[in-house]
Amino acid sequence: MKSARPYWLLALPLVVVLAACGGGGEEPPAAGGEEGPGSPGGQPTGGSTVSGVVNFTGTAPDPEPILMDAEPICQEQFPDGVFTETVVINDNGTLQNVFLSVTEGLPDQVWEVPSDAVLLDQKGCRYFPHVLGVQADQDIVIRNSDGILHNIHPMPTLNRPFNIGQPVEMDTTRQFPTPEIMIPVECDVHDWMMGYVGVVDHPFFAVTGSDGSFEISGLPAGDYVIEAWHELYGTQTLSVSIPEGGTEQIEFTYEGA
Amino acid sequence: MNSGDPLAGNHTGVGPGGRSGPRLLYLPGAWALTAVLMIALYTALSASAQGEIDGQAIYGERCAFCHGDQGDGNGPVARYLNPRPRDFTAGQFKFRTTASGELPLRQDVIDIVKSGVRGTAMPRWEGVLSDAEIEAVVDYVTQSFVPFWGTYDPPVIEIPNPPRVTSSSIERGEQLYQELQCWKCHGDVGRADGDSALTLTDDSDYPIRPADLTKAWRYKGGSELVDIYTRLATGLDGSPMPSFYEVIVDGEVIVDDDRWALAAYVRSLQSGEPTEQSVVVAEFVDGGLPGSVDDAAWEAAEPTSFFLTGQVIAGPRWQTPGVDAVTVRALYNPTDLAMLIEWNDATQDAASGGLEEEQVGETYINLESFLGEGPYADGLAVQFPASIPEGVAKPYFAWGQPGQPVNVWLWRADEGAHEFTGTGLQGGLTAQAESNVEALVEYAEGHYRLLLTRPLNTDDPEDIELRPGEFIPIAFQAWEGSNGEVGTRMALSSWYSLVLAESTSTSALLYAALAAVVVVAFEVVIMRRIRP
Repeated sequence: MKSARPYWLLALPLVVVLAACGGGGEEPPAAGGEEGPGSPGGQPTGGSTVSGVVNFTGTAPDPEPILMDAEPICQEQFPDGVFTETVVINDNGTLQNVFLSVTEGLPDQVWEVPSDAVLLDQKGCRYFPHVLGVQADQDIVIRNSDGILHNIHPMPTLNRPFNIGQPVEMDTTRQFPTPEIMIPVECDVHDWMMGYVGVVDHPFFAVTGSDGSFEISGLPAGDYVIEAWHELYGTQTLSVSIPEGGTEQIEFTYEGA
Repeated sequence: MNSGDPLAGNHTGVGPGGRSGPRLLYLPGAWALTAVLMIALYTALSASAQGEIDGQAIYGERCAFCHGDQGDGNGPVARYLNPRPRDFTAGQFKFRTTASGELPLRQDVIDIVKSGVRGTAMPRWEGVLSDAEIEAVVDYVTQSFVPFWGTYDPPVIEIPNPPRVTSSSIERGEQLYQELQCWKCHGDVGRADGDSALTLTDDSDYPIRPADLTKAWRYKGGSELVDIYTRLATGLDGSPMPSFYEVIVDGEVIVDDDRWALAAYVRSLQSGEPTEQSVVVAEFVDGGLPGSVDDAAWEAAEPTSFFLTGQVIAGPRWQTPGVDAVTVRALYNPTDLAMLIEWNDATQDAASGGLEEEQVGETYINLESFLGEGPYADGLAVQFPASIPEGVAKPYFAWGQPGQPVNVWLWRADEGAHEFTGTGLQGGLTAQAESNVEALVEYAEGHYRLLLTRPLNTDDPEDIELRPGEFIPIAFQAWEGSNGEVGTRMALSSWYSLVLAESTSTSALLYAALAAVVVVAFEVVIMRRIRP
């Protein structure tokens, strides 16, 4: 089931890596490169970009308060209370934590796995980012910043699961070798902790942050299908044609109740 | 479930030793001859029949009822089981020697099929199926249902030889139990009452409770040191129990010694496992009986533990009781009996929504049908026959029967203690007009300690009269409110015995001494008379 490792590619310079954009507009969690198109890249990537925004209309369910009484170390990090992140609507009416990726139209090639790791941080008894994008086989550094017991317990269906106890501040590094959208991640000790990891076998993905926008660049010219995924509202797709060097704007719209 | 069928009276009745049959069976020569023939036959057959063992057929006959035709854990009886049967298609296995999340080794699967899983419906297959049959069915299951099987070599966790357990290694283990925060689920002293205990779900989103580490018989993967070490290192996949293999403490990955120390501490928590002992001996106290559950006088009373099992005789049948063992001590004085009854219950349920109408008539209970009901109060009952039976026939062990009533001392967390009379599961319990039982209860760290006191004789014909020197039948029932238990949906034991040990009071000793003096004096007189 493992994707073939393109060892011959190691001779080539690094592929352009798009930032996973982080999630929730919090601290930049992605240790992956922030460099845009044009940074050193030997793989045949292009100069085209698809960008846009994920809008939201209608009414979102009220965020539910999370009771963290059992963990004062976490609770004190949220003096104004802490809420579930199932649906996070930004001030500009856009939807946060939407995972976007190219699902059709890419040239038939193997994309090099970035050597940089991405970070999944457990902080204040929450996952940062709430939604993480990663390339297959790329290192994910799972960090316990709280120093209290967390267990990192992803529940994939296409990849092997794992369940690692992290009772102190520590890092655990893991990879998912098979593309899978999405892998839920839980902490059994704190049943409110919920996160998602999107695994794709190419670098063309993004996650919406606090302004609801996204940008996927470095694409060759072509016709693509872009898929948006949200944990409550599901998936949507849009088709887009991008000329070489051009930027196409697209807009997804999710509708609440 | 752990203690077998209460009807069989397996703790008090005739054990497997009580065999009977033709005398030929007892002739050593006959046995030896049979054995030789069997071995010869087996060797011949296995040589010719190798490869003819049909794993699929064995699976269909022995496994599919629980694990399902498609291996997805959804056999016809799956919904009545807790924990549910393994879903092989999920590719997750609890008992492995491989790293977290990895497939087990073929040998791991063979081992668990052979040993069975204690505290679950998975029986021990060793001795039922031959080794070759077990291997065949394991190969069928893994190759037919388990994703990723055979596609890679799972990384193995090497289990080194265990060091000797010392008091200092146990001490270090206790420190690690704190540092690794095992108590968050397993509780401060291992009674499964941690803050997170009630919120846990397995990977299929079914509620799951952490292991009560004090109960050796509830360690599904085995309760020996090496079993505990293995579970700590590999975790229990599909459950919330993670692997603690790569854990860093004080800047260092914890070493084998530390894992062994933690395993040693966990093992030291085990206690109260019922044995063959089936008699509670109440010692005599010349004076006041203990007035509290902490009274030092209890140290003089020998603890005896008994298994309880689900009430499966009358509908609604209850396969998954929350309380599976009680530990009992007893003391008595010239007027009263005091019993100290202890049991583990991770949740204290003192409130009750009242007894509900029983769902009589349903053959088996669907576990899911109880979610959201209640609340139900915890409870414990001590049951005696209303009078010591003349012959060997005791009243029916489950609340008696018409014509042979039982005297039940029932304590409920919401209503306190009261005496009841029972004439069978259908009739239920009837509260006595006058109750003579007093209760004191303490609950702490997932543990109940209940002190019941009652006069030896109440002059009530519905009450047992407790007389020293007699074997008085005694049985127990328990209710775990958070487990949805109420009415006949309960845990219960078969009949055991209570004996009030004959007193050896000072007055008795005086009489004995006086008698000795009289005898000696009499002898002296006689000797003198005989002598010329």
